[in-house]
Amino acid sequence: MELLGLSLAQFLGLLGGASLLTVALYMLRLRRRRVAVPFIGLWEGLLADRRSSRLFSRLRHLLSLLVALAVVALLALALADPRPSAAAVSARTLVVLIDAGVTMRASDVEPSRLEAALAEARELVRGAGDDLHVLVAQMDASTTPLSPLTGERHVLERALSRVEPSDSPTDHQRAYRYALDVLSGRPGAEITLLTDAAVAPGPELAEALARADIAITHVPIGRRGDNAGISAFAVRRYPIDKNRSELLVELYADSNHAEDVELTLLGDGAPIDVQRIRIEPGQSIRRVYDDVTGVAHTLEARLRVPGDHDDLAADDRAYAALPERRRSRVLCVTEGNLYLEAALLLDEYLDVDVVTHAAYRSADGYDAVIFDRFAPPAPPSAPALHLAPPGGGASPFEIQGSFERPLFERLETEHPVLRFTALRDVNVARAARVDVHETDRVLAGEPRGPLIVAGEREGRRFVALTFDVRESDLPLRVAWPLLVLNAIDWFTAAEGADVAAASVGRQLTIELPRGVKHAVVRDPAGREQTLPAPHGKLVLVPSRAGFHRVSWDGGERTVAVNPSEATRRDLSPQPQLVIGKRAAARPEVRAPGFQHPPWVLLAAAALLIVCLEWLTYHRRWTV
Amino acid sequence: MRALFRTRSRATRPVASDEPELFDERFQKRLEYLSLVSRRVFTGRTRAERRSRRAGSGVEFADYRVYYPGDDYRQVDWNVYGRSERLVLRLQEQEEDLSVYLLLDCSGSMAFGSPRKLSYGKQLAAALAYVALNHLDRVSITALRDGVVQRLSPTRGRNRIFTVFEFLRPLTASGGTNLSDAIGAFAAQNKRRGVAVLISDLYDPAGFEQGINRLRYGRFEAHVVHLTDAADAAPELHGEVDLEDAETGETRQVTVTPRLLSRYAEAHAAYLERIHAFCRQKRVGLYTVDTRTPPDEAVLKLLRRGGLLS
Repeated sequence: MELLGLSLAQFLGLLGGASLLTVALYMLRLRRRRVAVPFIGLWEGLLADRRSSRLFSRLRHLLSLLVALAVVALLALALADPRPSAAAVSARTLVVLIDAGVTMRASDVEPSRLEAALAEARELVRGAGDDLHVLVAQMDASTTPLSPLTGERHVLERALSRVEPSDSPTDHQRAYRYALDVLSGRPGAEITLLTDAAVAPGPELAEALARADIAITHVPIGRRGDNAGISAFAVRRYPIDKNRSELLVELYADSNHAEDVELTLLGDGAPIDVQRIRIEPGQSIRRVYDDVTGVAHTLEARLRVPGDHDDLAADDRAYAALPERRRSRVLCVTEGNLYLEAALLLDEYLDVDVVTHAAYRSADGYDAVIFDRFAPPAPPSAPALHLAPPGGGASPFEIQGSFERPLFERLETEHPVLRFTALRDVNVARAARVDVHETDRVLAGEPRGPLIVAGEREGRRFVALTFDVRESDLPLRVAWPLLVLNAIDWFTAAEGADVAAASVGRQLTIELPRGVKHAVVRDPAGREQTLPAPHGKLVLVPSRAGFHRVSWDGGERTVAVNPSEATRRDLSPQPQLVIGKRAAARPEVRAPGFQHPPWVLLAAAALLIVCLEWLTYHRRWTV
Repeated sequence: MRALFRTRSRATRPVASDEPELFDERFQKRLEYLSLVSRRVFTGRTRAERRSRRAGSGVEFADYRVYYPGDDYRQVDWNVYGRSERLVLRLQEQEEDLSVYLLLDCSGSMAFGSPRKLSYGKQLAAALAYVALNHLDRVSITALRDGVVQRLSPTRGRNRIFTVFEFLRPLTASGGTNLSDAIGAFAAQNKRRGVAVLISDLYDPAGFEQGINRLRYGRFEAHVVHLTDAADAAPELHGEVDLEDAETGETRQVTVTPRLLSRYAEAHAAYLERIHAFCRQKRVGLYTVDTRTPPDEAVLKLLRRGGLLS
């Protein structure tokens, strides 16, 4: 037994002081009240018996004093908060991991797998007490503890009520690691998983758990796994005509039945297409909509599966957001380049001004500037596309010479500037040999030198072609206008012609205008949170599928977040969690123990005695 | 624990002088009403007259008596002498005023009750006096404790009621009770016999019997109006108390329990029964009046029962 509320000295001091006070008050109580009566003669006969009962009366006084002292002692002990010492208790420590991932939203068990798991968890925590401490944690893409390690049942039940379904896949390994951290060094440690997946810990993790003597138990959740849903949803603007978009939808069915589903597409919230599609069991079907027009902001796909062959509704909707388009002002500093001007004509959102080399003063007020065989005298005030920079002035680099018939051997096709371009067989007469900076990125080149370089000068982006396009067949290829428009899009941060949506549980980086420090993110459920955006980059790990609104001072953007790709898997519940060669057992469900700490019992006992004393006093049994 | 923190108080004792005006206009109006009603009660009887048992100068025959030397010749019935040759006197009933003596107990115990017994006794005495004065009877009031405290000389006439009020108003409840001595003194002071009404709670340490016997021995027509209060039988006491007699100051330590209160109630009932038995045995009119009964209503009840003032 140990005292948690007071030290032993404090407890004894409190008990002694309170007892003395009680005795003093009792002495006061024994002073009699004087009452006048009209005729004491009537009492005389009665008082003869009183003498014989004086001893009994004294005993009653003593008993009453003892009762008061007992109450004082109980209250003092309650304040001291005595607890059984940890060594005296055969403790068990349990971490309950509740799978709240997207598949747990399946409704094959009523009302959902998650609710079924919570019901099982409530049974488990009902046995919590001094000898069974439990921690409740939710596992999805991350693992979130919802309670401390405690034996107090109401705390655990409150924690269970805070479990929220997630649209993200479950990372079981992360949950195991978390539980290992919590349980290491604790006696009687046990992990209980309530999940439909039954994913065993990896070999190293399993070994660490075994070393820490942590048992793993498993409660399988779920009954079956019929599912049909949207497995892919992507939209992109045509690079050449950004008013039109191309849309890809992939549907699948994991069930034993052919499904006649209804697919509805909504553009900016309004239906734009409805199709009935038959999906054979276990098959995937792709649909491409290659000329989607009139949609400015959002696209959404909704799947309706008739009957009860779809246990998971979370993957029946998919989302995509088209980037905002705005007009850009472009300055061309050239002595005449028809190829360039023709490429710029393809994007109607560009306002192009053309000036000669001699007429160039500055690029103030422009979103991008294109220097054709020209080195500006001073660093430009806008991002710049340099075509065959001559060196000198504010040229991005100095020219060291040239080399003949360069080849596009190395290509950074992932870079936004080279997106959708095919450059490998472009023929170039010659290219300048330049010294690129360490921070510059060579997007195309060969060992003799770079051909296309991207980077930053004076805090502004630039793209430089080290060759003259007029001495190549590049302008004759589709890649040329794409390259120019990609570069302008990259300058104006309007990259993202490919607008494949982000996924739940995956980190998403959103570039915001320079100078923006914070942004408010509003999720599909309407919850808002303010997040920092260091260096204009907002990092977000969405937990819900749907349209997220990101707003900042002077702007707003819609980000589409889709259910995780991992959603598309067999929903069939796995009844056994096999670790090594042994199947994990079901956890022991203990009968509910008495939950209240000893001080509550002590206080209740004191209250009971006070009530009894009050009752006997008013019944005149003890006075 | 509740008892532990119970507040303490000094001896609770009734205050004797906090009574409101007893004989206000409202009370006097009720007396007027009482007067009218009491006339109805006495309908058919000779109003304002009461025949004494003494032979006197009245006109109605009462009895015969043998003549003794010295008797008034005028009362010899000569017709009887003519028939029987025996000298007998013809006795006429003598008509005389009735003397009504109201004896009011003013001891300390009369300060108890709600309303206080003394206040109630004063109103009762005033009401009885009013009725008596209204019947042209002679009224005297005597305040008693352990002796005669104060005395209103016999008076008559309806307008004397205000004298009665003035006499009663300053009386206070204090001191001890000794009915025997007090009534003995009263009897010695009042030779003229009549109706004596003792208004008291009969709490006399020496016993109430001796005092009432003194009235009887003094040949007064004794009546007792016994004032009782609900708290007399069921006092609101609990716990450890020191009981203090309001008259003698004697104290007794008592632990009041429900059982003790029950036994006290039994003792009180036995005391009442003792009073009833005594009065029944001695043919003394006893009227037990609860102080919660309005005084005029109590007086009417007394009058209806007969014997008093009739």
